[in-house]
Amino acid sequence: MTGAQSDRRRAVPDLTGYSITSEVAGREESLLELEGLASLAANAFVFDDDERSLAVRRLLLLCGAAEFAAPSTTLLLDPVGTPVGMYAVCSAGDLSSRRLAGAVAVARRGRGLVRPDEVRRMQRLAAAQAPVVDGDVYLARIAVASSAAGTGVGRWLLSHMFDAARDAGFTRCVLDVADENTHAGAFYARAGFTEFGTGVAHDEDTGRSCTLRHLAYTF
Amino acid sequence: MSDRLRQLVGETLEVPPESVTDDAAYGTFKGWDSINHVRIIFAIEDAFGIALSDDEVMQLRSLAAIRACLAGRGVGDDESSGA
Repeated sequence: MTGAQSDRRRAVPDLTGYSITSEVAGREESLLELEGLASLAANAFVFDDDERSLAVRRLLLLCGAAEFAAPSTTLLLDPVGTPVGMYAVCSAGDLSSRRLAGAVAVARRGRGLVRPDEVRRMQRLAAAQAPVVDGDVYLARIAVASSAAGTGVGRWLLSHMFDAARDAGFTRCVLDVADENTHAGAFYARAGFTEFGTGVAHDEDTGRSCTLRHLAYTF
Repeated sequence: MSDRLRQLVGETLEVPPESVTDDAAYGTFKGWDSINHVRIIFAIEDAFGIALSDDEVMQLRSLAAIRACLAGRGVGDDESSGA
């Protein structure tokens, strides 16, 4: 065992005893923790701090309005049942409906909880996301717990998602990755994704910007 | 022709009401995104004195669908009532 980072990344992970589930109920906090790892740049653009971010993302999850709410999410559980990885995918129609449900949840149940400036930045961010068309599967999130980082679990999850998406008849996988997230960008490049555009969300009040690279992989 | 619905949608999306075509819909018409969709619905609820359920908010995604819903509730705007 060399222990070299590059070798570890390429290794096929030993997932004996692990399981896959789309059952999110009862695992919401673990999911939020994992999902947060996959949306750091977006959350830093929208929210002032982690507390605000968690409160709003929890609301959207519990209302079933988040892009990573059931049934979009697949969790990888370790042998004792702890989620160590996740991905969330949406069709073009799913994405459109989730965004609508999110806006409804924020307006109806998040009144007073979600601030108008946060809503404005969420709106800007959504407008900067990749165009998703029929036949596309949108990879809204993919994340691996820090305890499992570098073990090949991310690549395994991506392969699992590709297989399921192909079986479901999708022809292309589309995602957004924050320009500043070079680690994830390199991961997707190694997996064969190519860039087909960019979107920039800017908020003049805070001076914050978030540049999203639109990546695609054709099956 | 007076058309309160077209007016409300235009005002919410900050576009001239006459540019809001009958096929205008969430996701395809300029500026009609998820947040503005909810703003449109709230404006309609206030203007017509009705309350729409979350399911209706999710389903009423076009000018035509909203117009049909209003007509069904007997609060249709001028155009749908043939005025």
